Amino acid sequence: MLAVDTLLICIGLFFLTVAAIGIVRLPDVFSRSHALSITDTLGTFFVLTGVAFYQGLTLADVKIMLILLALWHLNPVISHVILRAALRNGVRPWVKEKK
Amino acid sequence: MSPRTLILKTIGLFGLWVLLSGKLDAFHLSIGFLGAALIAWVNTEPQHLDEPPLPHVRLILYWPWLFLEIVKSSLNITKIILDPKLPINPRLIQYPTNLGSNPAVVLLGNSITLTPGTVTIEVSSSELVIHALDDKSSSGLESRDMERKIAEAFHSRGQT
Repeated sequence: MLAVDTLLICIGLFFLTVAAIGIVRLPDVFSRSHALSITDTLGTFFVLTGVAFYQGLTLADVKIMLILLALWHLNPVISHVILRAALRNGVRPWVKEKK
Repeated sequence: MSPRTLILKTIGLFGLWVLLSGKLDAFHLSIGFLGAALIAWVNTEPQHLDEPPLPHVRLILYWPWLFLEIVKSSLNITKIILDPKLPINPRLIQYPTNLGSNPAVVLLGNSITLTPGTVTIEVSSSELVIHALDDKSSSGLESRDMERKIAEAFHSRGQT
C-alpha cells in the first residue's frame, strides 16, 4: 500500500511545515509553543503512522506506537517547564496592542 | 512492596522487553526475565505518593475524545498560522479548578498543553495559569468540557 503511507507522511510533513512557519511568524516564546504543539501531536502522529504503514505489519509498529506514547507524555511536560521558567524569569507574554 | 506488585512489575517489564527485542529464543528470554526481575526488585521502595492511581479503565473513553479535540484545535491553529493577517490574541488565563486530587490536576494540565492553542504555565492543586493563543482556544477552555470529563472519570471512585 504505497499510496496510503505516502499520503499519511505528506500530511504529517504539511503540519510540520506549518509549525515551522508558525515559529517564524508568531511574536514570542509563549505563542511559539502553540505552533510547536502541532508538531507534537498531528505532525509526528501522521508521519509515524505513515512509517508504520510503510513497514507493513511487523513488530516495529509496536515500537512506533511506543514512541508516540512517549512523545505525547513527555512533550507537554517539557513545554510546560520551559514556559514556566520563562514566566518566572520575567518574560512577559506579548499582547495585541489596543487600537 | 508486596510480592504481588513485584510480580506485576516483573511481568510488565518482561512484556516490554519481549516487545522491544522481538527475539523468542531461550537466551534472550532468560536475560530479559533476569533483567526485569532485577529492576523490579531494585525499585522496591514503598509508594511514596499517597495519591490514588489514575482510573485507567474509566479513562478509556477520554483518550479518543481528547484526540478529536487535539485534531480540531490543531486545524484551528494551522489556519491562524497560515492566515496572512495572523489573527492572534494571546493572553494569560487564571483557571481555578476543584478537581482536588493531584493526578487529576496533572492530567488536566497535560491535556491542556497537548491541545494546541493552550499551554499550562503554572500548576497548583487549586489553580492553573494558562496561556491561550486566540479567542477560540480560550473560549474552548472556558467551557470546561475537559475538566468535566476528567472529574467524571475520577468521580466514580468516590472522590471529586
